Amino acid sequence: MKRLLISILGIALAATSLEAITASQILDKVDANMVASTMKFSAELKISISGSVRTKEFKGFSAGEDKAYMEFTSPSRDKGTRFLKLGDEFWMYLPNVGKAVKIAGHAMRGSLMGSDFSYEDAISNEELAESYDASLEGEEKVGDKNCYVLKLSLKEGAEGSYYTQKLWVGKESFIPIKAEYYSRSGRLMKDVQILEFKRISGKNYPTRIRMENKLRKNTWSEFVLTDVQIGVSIPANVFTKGYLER
Amino acid sequence: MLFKLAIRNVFRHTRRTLITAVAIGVGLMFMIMIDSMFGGMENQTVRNILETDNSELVVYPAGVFEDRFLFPLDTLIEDASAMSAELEQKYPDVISATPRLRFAVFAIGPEAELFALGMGIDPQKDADVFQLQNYIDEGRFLAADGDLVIGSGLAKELNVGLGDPILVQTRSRRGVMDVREYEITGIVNTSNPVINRNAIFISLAEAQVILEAPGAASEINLHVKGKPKDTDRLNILGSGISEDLGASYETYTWRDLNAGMFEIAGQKQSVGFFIAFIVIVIALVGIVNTMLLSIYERIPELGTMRAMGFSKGNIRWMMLMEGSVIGFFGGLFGVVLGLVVVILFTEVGFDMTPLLGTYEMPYPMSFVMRGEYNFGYMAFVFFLGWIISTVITLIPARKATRIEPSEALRST
Repeated sequence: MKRLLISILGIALAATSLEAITASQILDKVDANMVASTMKFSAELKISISGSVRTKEFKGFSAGEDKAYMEFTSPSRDKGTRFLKLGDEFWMYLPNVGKAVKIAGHAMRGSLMGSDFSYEDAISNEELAESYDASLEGEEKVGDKNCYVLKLSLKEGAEGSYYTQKLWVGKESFIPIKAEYYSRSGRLMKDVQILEFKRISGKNYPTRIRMENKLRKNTWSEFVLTDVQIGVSIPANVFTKGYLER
Repeated sequence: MLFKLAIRNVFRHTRRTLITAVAIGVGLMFMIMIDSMFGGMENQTVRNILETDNSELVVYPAGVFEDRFLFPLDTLIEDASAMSAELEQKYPDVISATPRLRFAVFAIGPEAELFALGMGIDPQKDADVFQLQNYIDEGRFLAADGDLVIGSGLAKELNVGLGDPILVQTRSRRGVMDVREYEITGIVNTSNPVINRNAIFISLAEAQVILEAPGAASEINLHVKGKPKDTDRLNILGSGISEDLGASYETYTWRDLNAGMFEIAGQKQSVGFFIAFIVIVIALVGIVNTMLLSIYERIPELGTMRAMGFSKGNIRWMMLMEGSVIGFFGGLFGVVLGLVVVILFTEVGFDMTPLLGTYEMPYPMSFVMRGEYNFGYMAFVFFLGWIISTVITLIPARKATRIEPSEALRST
């Protein structure tokens, strides 16, 4: 009898804990981790095409949704290539051109330095809850991590690159351990995995992200972030065309 | 009497006169040929643009003209088919009208991916304005939603052929990405490289769905009566239409839309005319030389004429008439020769394919170059040759008028 009571209590508690968190609360927690007010970092971009891996190094800064700056530091042929996001505008600086060139809106979905990341993927720092409605689809294990499975649908009238997203959010870390991005016609476009994360300034922040563009064959790319600083002050002149063309 | 004398003098040395006249004629022939060639090239370029890319007049939403190559989707013509039909009915000079929806495409083939120009077209209406359906190399023109016609150059770059699958990645009006797989149902090979190298055509209805732009289009193309090169008339009609449509719309001619290209063509044309000018100068040096020779030979004769009472003015007039006669025949010969060349050039054409090999022209023109008849220009060249030949004779005539009768007679 006692054992039965304990079992019933256990089930009830489990049910309560499942109901205790909603999809939008999970998404808010994800946003709280993934979106940084300001950030400074160094990073490696590994690009694998048909088994051959190339590595590029760069450093970057971001401030809110609207400002981001990236500068490649190696290999030598990419050294000095810089990118600047200013609101809706996106600029690229190539040292051998010696002038900043504005990238057209549609080109933002082009590949960043030949990787599986688009320019947009690389510099996006927007809260998902702003643009997406979330629904909790259940729970699944990804590797050894228990995850909430969230389905995100682009809100009516909202702007966003992917029509739907499926996120596997770690129950403990509240970061999307795995994500799938879908087109409007329901085609899987990208598969993302967060392979490592660190606790930085009170956030669980991803430091190793692997992306596979499902429209390409035999490719993957990885961002490996080192020396990440969140909430630091960044000189205002970094986000200017003058700094880009310096 | 002076005229008779001049004619007689000109034909005293028939061979020399003929050579000079032929030299002038050949120079003028070059001018006519170069004009015909550039005129033909321009005609062909215009025809190719009008048959595939822009019609004579194009209506845009206000403010997008400068950014049209960035394919902005935030400013479109809403309810475009209705506006298109209205324009067609309202203006007697508009033969037909069709909306087109342009958008940026990321085309993904099995081995390559490229940015391309997507165009949503209404197959029936489009065929009333453009001629794409006549340039289908393989397969068929758009017949149903789901069909995709690709430019031959783009297909080659993507290494895809008729019946092959292709992924078309687009971004909708609110930025949502879409990827759809199509089977290539047609390959279009026009003489417009902009279309061949970049374009992907799908039905307007389908493009509107993909881009979340129901009923909308980027532009309305108006096929207009009359000569397309008569841009003054097009501008008047365009201004009238813009005024009627209100401040939200602007109308542009095909020339406005391709101004950059014609600017480059214009520079090349100037180089062509400069070459022709050099040829003319050489021919005119010939006439001066001929006249001077004739003067040196006739010094005693000219002295006798002066002694008989011919004034300096009479001598000058006689020389000018001689130059004028040579110029007249040279001009006539040049125009006849030019006309023959232009007829050959226009009716038969000059196939440049063996010269170009695999090189594709940067402008919308075909490999077979054709000329153009420009009778006004031929008349101009004739009179130009005639008048300049006459005027240039003033130089040797001055020499002739300086001959003193006493000295001239002494030299016999």
